[in-house]
Amino acid sequence: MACSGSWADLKNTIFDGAVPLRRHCFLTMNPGRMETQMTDTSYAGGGLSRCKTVVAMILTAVVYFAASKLSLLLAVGATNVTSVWPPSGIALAVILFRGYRMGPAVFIGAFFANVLALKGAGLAPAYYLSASITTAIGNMLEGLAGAYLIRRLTADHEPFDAVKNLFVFIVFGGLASTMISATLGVASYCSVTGEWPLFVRLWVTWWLGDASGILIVSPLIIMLKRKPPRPETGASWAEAVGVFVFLAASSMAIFWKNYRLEYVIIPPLLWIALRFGRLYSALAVFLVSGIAVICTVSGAGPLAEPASRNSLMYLQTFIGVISIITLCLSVLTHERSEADKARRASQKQLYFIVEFLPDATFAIDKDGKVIAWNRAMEELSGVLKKDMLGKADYGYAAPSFGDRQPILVDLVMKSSDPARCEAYDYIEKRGNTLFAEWYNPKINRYLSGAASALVDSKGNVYGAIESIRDITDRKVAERDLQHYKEHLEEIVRERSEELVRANEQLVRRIEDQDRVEMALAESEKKYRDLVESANSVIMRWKPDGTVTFFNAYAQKFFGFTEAEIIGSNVVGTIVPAVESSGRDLAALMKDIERRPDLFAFNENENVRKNGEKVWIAWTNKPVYNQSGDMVEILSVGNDITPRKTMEESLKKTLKELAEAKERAEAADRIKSAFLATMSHELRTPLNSIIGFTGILLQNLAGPLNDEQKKQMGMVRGSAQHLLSLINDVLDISKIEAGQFEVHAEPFDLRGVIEKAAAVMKPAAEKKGVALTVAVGPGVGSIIGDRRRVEQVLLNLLSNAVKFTERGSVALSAAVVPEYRPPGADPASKPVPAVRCTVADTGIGIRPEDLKGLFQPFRQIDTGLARKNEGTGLGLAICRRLADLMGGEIIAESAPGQGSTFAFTLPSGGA
Amino acid sequence: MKRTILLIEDNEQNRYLTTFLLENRGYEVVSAEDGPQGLEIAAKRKFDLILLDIQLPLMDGYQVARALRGRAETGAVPIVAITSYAMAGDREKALAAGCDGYIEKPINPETFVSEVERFLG
Repeated sequence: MACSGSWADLKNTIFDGAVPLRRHCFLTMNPGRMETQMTDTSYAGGGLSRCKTVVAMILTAVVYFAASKLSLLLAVGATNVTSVWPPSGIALAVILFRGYRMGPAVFIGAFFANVLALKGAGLAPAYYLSASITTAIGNMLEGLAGAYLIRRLTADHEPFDAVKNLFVFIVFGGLASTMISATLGVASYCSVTGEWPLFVRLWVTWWLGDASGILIVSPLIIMLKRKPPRPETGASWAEAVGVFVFLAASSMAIFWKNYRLEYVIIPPLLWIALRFGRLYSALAVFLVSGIAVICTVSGAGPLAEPASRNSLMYLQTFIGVISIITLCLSVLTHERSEADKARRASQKQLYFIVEFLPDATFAIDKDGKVIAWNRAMEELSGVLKKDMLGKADYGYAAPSFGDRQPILVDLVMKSSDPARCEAYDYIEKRGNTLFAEWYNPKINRYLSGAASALVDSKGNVYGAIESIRDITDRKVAERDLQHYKEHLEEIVRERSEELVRANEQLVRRIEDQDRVEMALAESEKKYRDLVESANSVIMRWKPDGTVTFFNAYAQKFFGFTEAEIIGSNVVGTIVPAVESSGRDLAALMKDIERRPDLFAFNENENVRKNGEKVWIAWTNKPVYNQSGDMVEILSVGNDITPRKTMEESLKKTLKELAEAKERAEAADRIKSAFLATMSHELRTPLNSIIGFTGILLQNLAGPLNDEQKKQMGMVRGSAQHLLSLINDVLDISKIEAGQFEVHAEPFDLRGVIEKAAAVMKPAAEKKGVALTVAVGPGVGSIIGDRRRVEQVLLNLLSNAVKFTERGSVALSAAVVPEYRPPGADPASKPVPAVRCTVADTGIGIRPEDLKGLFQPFRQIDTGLARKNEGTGLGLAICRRLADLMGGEIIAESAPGQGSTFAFTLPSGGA
Repeated sequence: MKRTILLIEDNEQNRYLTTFLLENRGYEVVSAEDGPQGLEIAAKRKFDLILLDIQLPLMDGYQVARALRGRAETGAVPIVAITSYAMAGDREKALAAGCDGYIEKPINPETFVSEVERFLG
């Protein structure tokens, strides 16, 4: 097999650019698609493809020819009958790949090889030419028929992908189609030589030789086309080399050295088939066969019988058997591993699908091992996926039922009677799916589950899936509804009973009525006594105003005797025609007489016989006769004169108060407007004073001498003091007038603090007082009115510097995480705030002065007033500003030890 | 070329003060004592800026600013209000009337001109 190296080259030359078998099949089945693909490439590409085909045909012919020449070396005796005919294998493989067009190439190669072989045998040209043509046709037909049968019967699959297809290859490609070549070849040989008696034996030899050639060579070529040529199972190169060396060595030992150990080579072949896949199996078969053929043809080894015909048969049989066994096993192994891969892929897919499902779901394979367990299942069961995957033996039932037992998912697999499973409250099979509901005491939930078998495309069950939903809420709602229904019936029953009872009571009451009427006559006498002696005015009068009854109290109260009043009109006796308030009481009486029910409660002025005015609260009630006409009015009156008098005076007082308030508010408005106008009017001349002083001090109007400069400086100082007085007055008047607005915008508090300190620094340094600043972490941007915050800080700082003769003024700021402003609801949520503190070591404030510190115009008179000029408004303004911004200012002080002012401001605005 | 500023201000001292400060820095200042006079002057020649007092007799500053803005020849001239009004909303009122800026009285003689120059562009 010195030619194996060049075979690899040939393989490249022949198959480069060849259309893979499957693609080829696809194109032939879809001619339309093929055209589309053709138009995708250029015409030059089409020409190139044709050109390639021609080159491939030429190469095939050449290779076939060369292989035949080499193989003829293996011929038995002087015949052209060989033990193994590898060209058959080449022909079949090439036709399988490149199509039936390669048939003629095979013919040409075979023809020339035969011509060359037979020419040397000294035959007449007519004989050897006709014999060569016949043999070549046989070789071509063998390849074409084999390829056709394989394609047809494997449905264009590769023959080595499945055992089924491998058998097609062996039976039709290897054994059946080779009969054509054997028949034609041996017939032409016999017709030329006249050795017809040898026909059967030669035919068998020829047939087996072609078949062996196909079995050994075709698989190798087809496998070599696959990439990559490495052990499919991932076994190591060292192992491969070791096994092959052992195989080669044992083959040599058997076939060359003639150790009778033919079967020793079986184990390494099986090993290769199982471990290294199909390519290496084909290679191993090729190796062993090659060694066997060469050795046997050379006359060495156990198969080389003296009678060469028998040795040929032994050799062919041996090669056939080992190649079939090895190929079968390797293809079987391949098929298994592909099926395994496919199963793993589908399980993986299942795993992802289950992961994705929102309901608690898991899946098991057909051995009951958990292959998927999603997050919802983790939550429901409390068992993590990593602890459950791969577990078998009903481990997945434990989270639900506390022990290992078949559950819903197993019932699907085992197709047992679902009704037998008592763990479920409800179980039903609908289609291929089992539905069940049950209560899980471990997690105290009602669950609803569905389980179904997992079936592959061939209908085999490869596992099962179960999905569980928590239906506790629904169950509880159902139970409540049931409870309510039962309760409703109870309520209806109770109400019915109550009705019956009420009816009985009604009957009893009617019976009582008669007894009541008997008592009534007696009661009327009592009533009359009561009316006579009552402490209220009780009277009856007719709709025309005539008094018909006037009780004793009424006679005493109004000063009329019964004789004087009975028969008189109410108006003119106890009712004046006009009330003190001007109300027309005569008209009112007419209204009452018409519709006493509208005046059931009425207050009006009355008059005593002596002319004294009194106020009575009246209750009026019509009195009807038997036929329903109003005959009289019953009026009961109580003296409310003292209450009425009090009410009057109260009304008067309130009115006076409201007027006073109005006046005060008007005065206040006038005051505010006055202050605002005054402030403005005062600024106009101040503008000139400060402006011109500035011009003079800047020497813009010519140079000043030192004394003039000093005096102008004093003018400017006074003017500026006056301006600050005006500003303060304006501020306070704006605040009091409710015209003051604070802005709410984010600003950098740290910057404002530093600026305020920088402004006060010169004044502090001038007095020899240290001014320190400490801004805590987290003090940064807040929401508020930057100008007003600055105003407050400057005021507090200037006060501190003003009242401190020695020592220091410390300005610090810190974040207050939870601040509740004064006056806020104690239940309200505290807000974040910043507290700025100005602490000095100055003269301090007496406790009795601390109280009025924030009142306007309350500068503390300590005798220092002269020295410390100020408006007395600064702190009042500061406090009001702090209020407006939702914060506060608190002062703490001890006389002689200094003061501390804390200004707290919500960071998020008011 | 000298930049020209129109000053509308009724108080004589303040008019003199403002004029002095601006002329001292090389501006030409034309003054008017009230709104109608200011509008009349503004119609005749072109100014680089108009300084406008808000509290004026006859027409107040807001009316003057609106009138200036409504005319083609002064519509684009920057107007700066100068006022001692300092009640809430004064600034917004001035800007709403068409002023570009707002300087509060009393002015600071050291910084006044540079404040004005901010609006001169």
